[in-house]
Amino acid sequence: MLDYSLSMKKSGRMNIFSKLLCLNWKLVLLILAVCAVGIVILYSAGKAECSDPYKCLISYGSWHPWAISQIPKILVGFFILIVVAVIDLKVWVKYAYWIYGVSLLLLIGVTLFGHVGMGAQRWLNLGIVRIQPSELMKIALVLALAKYFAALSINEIHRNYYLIFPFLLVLVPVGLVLEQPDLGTAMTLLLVSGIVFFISGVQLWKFGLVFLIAILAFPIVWKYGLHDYQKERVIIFLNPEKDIMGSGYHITQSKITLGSGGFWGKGYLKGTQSHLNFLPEKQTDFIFTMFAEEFGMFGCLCLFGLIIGILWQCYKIAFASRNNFGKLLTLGLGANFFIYFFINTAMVMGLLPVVGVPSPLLSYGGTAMMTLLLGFGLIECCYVHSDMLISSKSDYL
Amino acid sequence: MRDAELIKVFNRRALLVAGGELFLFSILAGRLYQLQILDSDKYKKLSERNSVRIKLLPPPRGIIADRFGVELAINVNSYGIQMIPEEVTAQGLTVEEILNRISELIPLTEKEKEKVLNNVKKKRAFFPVFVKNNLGWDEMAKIQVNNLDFTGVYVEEGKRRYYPFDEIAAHVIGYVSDVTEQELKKDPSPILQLPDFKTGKAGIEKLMDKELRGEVGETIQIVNAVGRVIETLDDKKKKAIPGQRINLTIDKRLQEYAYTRINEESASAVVMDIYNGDVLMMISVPSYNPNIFLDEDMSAKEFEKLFSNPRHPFINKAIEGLYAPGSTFKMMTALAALSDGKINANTKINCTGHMDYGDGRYHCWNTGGHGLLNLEQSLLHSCDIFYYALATKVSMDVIQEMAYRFGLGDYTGIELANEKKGQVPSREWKRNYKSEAWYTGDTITASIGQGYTLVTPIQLAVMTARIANGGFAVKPRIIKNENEGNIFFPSLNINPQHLNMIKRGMFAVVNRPNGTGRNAYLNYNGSYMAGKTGTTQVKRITREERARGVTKQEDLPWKYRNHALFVGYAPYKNPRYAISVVVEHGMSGSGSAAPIARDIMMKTLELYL
Repeated sequence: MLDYSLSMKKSGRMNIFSKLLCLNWKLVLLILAVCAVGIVILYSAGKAECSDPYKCLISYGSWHPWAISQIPKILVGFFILIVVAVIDLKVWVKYAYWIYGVSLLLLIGVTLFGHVGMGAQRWLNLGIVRIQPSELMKIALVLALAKYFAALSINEIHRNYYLIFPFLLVLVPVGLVLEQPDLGTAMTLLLVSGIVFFISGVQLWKFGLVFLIAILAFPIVWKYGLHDYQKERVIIFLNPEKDIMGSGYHITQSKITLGSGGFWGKGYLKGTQSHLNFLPEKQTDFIFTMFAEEFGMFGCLCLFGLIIGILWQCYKIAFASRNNFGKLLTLGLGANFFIYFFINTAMVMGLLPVVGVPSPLLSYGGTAMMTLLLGFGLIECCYVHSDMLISSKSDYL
Repeated sequence: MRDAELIKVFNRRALLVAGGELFLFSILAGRLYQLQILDSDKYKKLSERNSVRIKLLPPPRGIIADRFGVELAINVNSYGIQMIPEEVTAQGLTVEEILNRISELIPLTEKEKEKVLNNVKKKRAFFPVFVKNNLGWDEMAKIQVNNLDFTGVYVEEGKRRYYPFDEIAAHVIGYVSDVTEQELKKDPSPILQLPDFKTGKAGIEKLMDKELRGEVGETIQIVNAVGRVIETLDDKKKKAIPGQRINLTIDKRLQEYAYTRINEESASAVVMDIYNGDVLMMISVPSYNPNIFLDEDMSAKEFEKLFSNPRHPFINKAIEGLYAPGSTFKMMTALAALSDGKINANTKINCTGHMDYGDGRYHCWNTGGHGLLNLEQSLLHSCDIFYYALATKVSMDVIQEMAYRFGLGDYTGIELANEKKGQVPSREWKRNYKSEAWYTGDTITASIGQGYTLVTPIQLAVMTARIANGGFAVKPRIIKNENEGNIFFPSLNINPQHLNMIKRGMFAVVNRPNGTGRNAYLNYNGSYMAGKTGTTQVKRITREERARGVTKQEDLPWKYRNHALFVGYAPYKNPRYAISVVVEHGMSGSGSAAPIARDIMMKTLELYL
């Protein structure tokens, strides 16, 4: 049966059932494992419903309110993953710019009609669901860039003329996201695009040039481009002990929480820092910290193992893919996942400023979870269609 | 993928990216190693002490002092065990379990445990609850040594109300005890939530409770993960504001003297300044020791015994006791007749020992008769016939109006709870309350202060003071007015000559050898007292009793004996202090009330003249 499917895969003509069999189930299981870790921590962070708030100052784990509502989101996310994976890769190539366009429109929409949360406009209320277009844009941008670069020859890539369009593809959403203002997502978008540019073969000196311009432009951006609270975050990052009870509180408490976990952790449901509410936003941005407190360095390294496992699968898929689009898309989305994880983890460890990036697959929240799983769906799609040849330039138009 | 060069570039750069990612992972792992291994001890300590708690600081209750600043209600240090239920349950222990552990070190009775459990239910989980109070040093040390096993249990140094003079001013000061559930419901102020907070339940403690409470302070404590205090942030401290100090008008020395002097009797007495109304002394005997309400070892049985005492130790008889004024009312009848123009200084009435009116015969206490008497002599002998005769001439309404002017039958407005109003009847009063017409016979009974008239000892003192000060509506007060100017009381518009007649009569009562109040005679450096006795019937000696040979008061059971009253003022010239004494079932005013009044007034004059 499997052999049959594999032979079908090679031929590129498969029905949905055989495509399902061809999915990279190792990757799916690894993702599922990380999601399960998320549920475990969300349960620990949970707080039972309580009529008398004075009696419930300290919580010791509950399905309510996060774990219980995160599970359906994960299930929907996996459904999206499967659906996206079995759709023909050529369909994604065909509609890549359209998806980018829709994401861009939503992003513009959020700047105009967005819902303000946590001091920044990020949410767009579409009646039934509230979505974060910036999350969608992370996927759409990689999709668009992969489509664009996959169609270029090495000579074309080396010519500046061909870089103008992808530059615009990147800078327009980055500008919009900065306007919200969402420093974390802007950073992620820039880094992910940078990686796609890099693996596409853009010359190294051009990266150097952009980097140099960025450094030179920094004082101007600092003075005119950043909001006060963003400046404050950077300053606090540089000197967190400056104001322990004020804005530096988050980083300081997060470090105490992490450090006090030790190698083996304090034990599940026994994290004093998080249960006594010293840890802020423990269900979202600081969920890794809570995990680190209860499971220690050992737990953290195991989690790293799972993340590396996911990335390993991505690389395997990218190298095995026989089309440029698949390679670029898989590595771009994999890099997106990594950058996401790295920024969050480095942030809670005090290595980066607190920029408000949740932990991928772990943090509570719907849009981030679903767009991530949508991204993994695309990677699976590349895997399923890895032998598909998208040779002629017309395929990319 | 036609471009082999491109694939080479892709593969190379993809590996570079992977390498970069691995490098960043190693940075994260290195940071984890630094935080969770190298600096872990530091962060563990920080985490252990990482907890702030707001500790409420109970304000010291206001001091109650006498007129010279002698402190009658104070606060003393006490050690107690407190428990924060939330912290106990947070460790997975129930309150019962922790109580059992505590009782292994210091015995707790079932009742005490029950009380703690009740308090835990009553209060919010993060408010401390007292487990046991007034601990000795050794008991306290035991708990502190074993503190490690008792999470959420603390030894607390606190303040406790203490009344150093025990019984002598109990009824004035009152007492404090635990906050009741009703109080918690009525008063949402968080101060009542404090552990072991007490509220005033009687006397000044009750009336001035809000003023005496003060304001809660707070301090921020850093506590470790299991709740033990690591550090108190004194700079974040908000000091507790002590309750207001209250200075009373009473004099502790006089109070003490009167208490010992009255001794075994069931009696009450009031001494007041006739000009400014300061109550120098107010005593009700038997008294109680207000400290018993703070005594954890006091059993319910002992309380019950006190409460069921027929002499009512918890009642302040000086303001709550209602008595017929008896002959002390004769001044009112006389003043009513004088102001009504029915008699004058020369009016003489013949006492034959009895008087017939209508169908009835009314007796004088002296059945032999007093002969021909004027007003002054009628007071001297306390002749009843004289007043019966007045009663036939003067309307009861006029008498009532006069009694009202002198403060009888109405609240005096003294700053104490539970004051009784009493009553002075009139024709309308009887119609309303008894649905009966008023007969002259009623006036005859009322003229000598019997019948429906009921007054309190403080009212009698006010009446006497108003006579003594020349007819000014002085009002009694027990809280000292700190910014004292000259207080002016309105005139009662009494003819001074009438008042002088009464005063001469009252002087005669005490100072003439044959006066009924001779027992109250005193001479303090030429200062004399004027006064009036009163004896009021509690129960008529029945014909059947007479047949059994019961003729004297002494033969009756205590509770049927006559009440004994005395009112007076001194010095006769330049009067300053008024006194009233009521000895319940003291049999006769001259016999038991007058000597007490004499001694207390003597003491007053010794202290103040």
